[in-house]
Amino acid sequence: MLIFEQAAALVFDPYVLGVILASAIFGMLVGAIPGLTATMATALLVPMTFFMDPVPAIAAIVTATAMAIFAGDIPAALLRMPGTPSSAAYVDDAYKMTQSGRGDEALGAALVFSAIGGLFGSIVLMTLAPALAEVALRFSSEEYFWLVLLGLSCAVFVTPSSPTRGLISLLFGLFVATIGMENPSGEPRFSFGNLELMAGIQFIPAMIGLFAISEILRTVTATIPRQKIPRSDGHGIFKTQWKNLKKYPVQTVRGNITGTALGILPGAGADIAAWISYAISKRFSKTPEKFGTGHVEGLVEAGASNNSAVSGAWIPALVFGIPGDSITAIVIGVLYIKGINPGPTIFINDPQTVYAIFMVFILANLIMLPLGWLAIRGARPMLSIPPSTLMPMILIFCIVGAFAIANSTAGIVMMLIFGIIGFFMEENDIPIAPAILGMVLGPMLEQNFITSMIKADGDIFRFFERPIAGGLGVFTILIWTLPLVMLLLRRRKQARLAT
Amino acid sequence: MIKLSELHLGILAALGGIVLLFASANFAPLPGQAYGAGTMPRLIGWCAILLGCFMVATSLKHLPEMAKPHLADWVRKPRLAFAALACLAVIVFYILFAETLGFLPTSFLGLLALMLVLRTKWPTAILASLATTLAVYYAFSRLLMVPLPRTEFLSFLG
Repeated sequence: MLIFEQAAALVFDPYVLGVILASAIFGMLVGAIPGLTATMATALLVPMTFFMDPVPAIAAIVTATAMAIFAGDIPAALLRMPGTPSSAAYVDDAYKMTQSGRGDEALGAALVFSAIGGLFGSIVLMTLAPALAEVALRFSSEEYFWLVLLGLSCAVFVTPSSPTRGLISLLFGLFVATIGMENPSGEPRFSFGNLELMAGIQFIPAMIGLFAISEILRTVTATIPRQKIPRSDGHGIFKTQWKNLKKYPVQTVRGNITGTALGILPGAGADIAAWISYAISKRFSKTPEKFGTGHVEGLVEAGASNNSAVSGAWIPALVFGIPGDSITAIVIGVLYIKGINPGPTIFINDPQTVYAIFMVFILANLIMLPLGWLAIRGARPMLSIPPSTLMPMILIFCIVGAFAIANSTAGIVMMLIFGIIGFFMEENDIPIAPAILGMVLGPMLEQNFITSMIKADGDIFRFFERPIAGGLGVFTILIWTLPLVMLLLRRRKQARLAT
Repeated sequence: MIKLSELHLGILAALGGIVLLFASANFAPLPGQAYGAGTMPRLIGWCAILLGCFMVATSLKHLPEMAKPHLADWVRKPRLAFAALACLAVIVFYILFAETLGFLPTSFLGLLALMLVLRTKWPTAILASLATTLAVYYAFSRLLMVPLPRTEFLSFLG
């Protein structure tokens, strides 16, 4: 009990509460700017945390991250530009809901189910951390290989256009991920002697280009006058969510569990959690045909999932010092700077700090509701600005965002190239999101594939020998083969009916 | 912009796969192993070839219509094509001149030009360009400590 009191004293200090509030606003702003990610918010906060004690420093990162992940949904719903990659899975549904006058419901669902997901993940973090992290720690390269392949498969099959075009996009993303020296043998690939390319394609400028620049180009070349987006139906941000919660309780719980479980796995993180949850939601939905057309079901499940993954990622980070995602990788660095060594001993040597971090998680997800409401209200006027004025303004944000990653114009050049590629893809109904996922997960897929192949001496059946790997492998193969089997069965049935 | 059919995309995917196979032919494997830097690009190349063949095979049924590439509607409208080019030109302008002119004038001029091309009214364009430039400058340069290119004669702005 004394530890809880000490932890509470650390958190409910006016200075720490002030830091939480300021970083919440900062996270909201960064998340709401298309292309600026939660990881970028964390990276930008690190220099400021140098001047803080451990608890406010970690509180700043936790709060900003949670807010940024939610805030990414705001431009996704209002402008079809996901603020963060984890919002990309359900961007079409959110945007189409806005276009049909249900923008408040879309953003309300994103806000409420993000908060629910974040709270669920925090509770799991507090109660089951050591046991759950132990399971993830037993994972080997085979499990990771199948898990990544499962995420990529979902990206292809959740695409609203044809799976073949989704696959083209994915292969493009995987190819982009091979550029540079980051590969098992450290050999420069497709870099043509260019130093910038040897370091690999910078992900954030590429993402800004593919999503934001292509959207700007699409807007300025729209032949049909931009449809005036109707005002919301006045049901309010929160009012419709009770109905959604009652209608989709299974989806909410499933999204929470999937997100937390995937967050725990190193490398999986919020982005892949959102994609897998969206795919699961579509797969088990009674109305899968409505997905991608402005349907809230996938948004509920994936929105809960990506925020619960943020909390889940902290479990292996705190208990074993293994980062669950890029954000917790930065956090581990900050903890070391502060003289705190993450790992099992942190629970013995510094329990009050650990419990203070748990409390910060709960606070951050609760504060998200009022601040998110304000952010949604504040963002709505964006819709009333004509595209001829708004698009140039977004363009300059994109340019500076791409520059800020490495303080180099190379980022802007990359953004420009990927913007043109993204526009070409959009014009030809090739979805962009699988390419993004391919770029993010490509290195992980390659590393685990090569490691597993070397371990198995080229025997592909060894990928199924471990029980969890076997289960994941069979599940992934089913995802690929089931649609083909169903198609063949349907054709046979049609042929039988014709004769 | 040309709109490509399933047939064209299939051919492009297969060709891309072939190029990838050739380009990765000389990547060395890890010492003493059969796998290395070339494994993944070659796998992607083979997947692209298979996908391309599948797309070509499935689109052969509708061959006459699939063979014709279509032009996007906006390409035939000079104003819209010019707007798209202007967006790209502003980015190129920033890349070329931001270091010399500094962020403030480059951003302001680029924004103003683009807004006028997109037919924003003059007063709104001037005000919006100025406000956006200053807001972005202060947010990134002062709050987030991003070293945006500075303009010596405007150094009094911070």
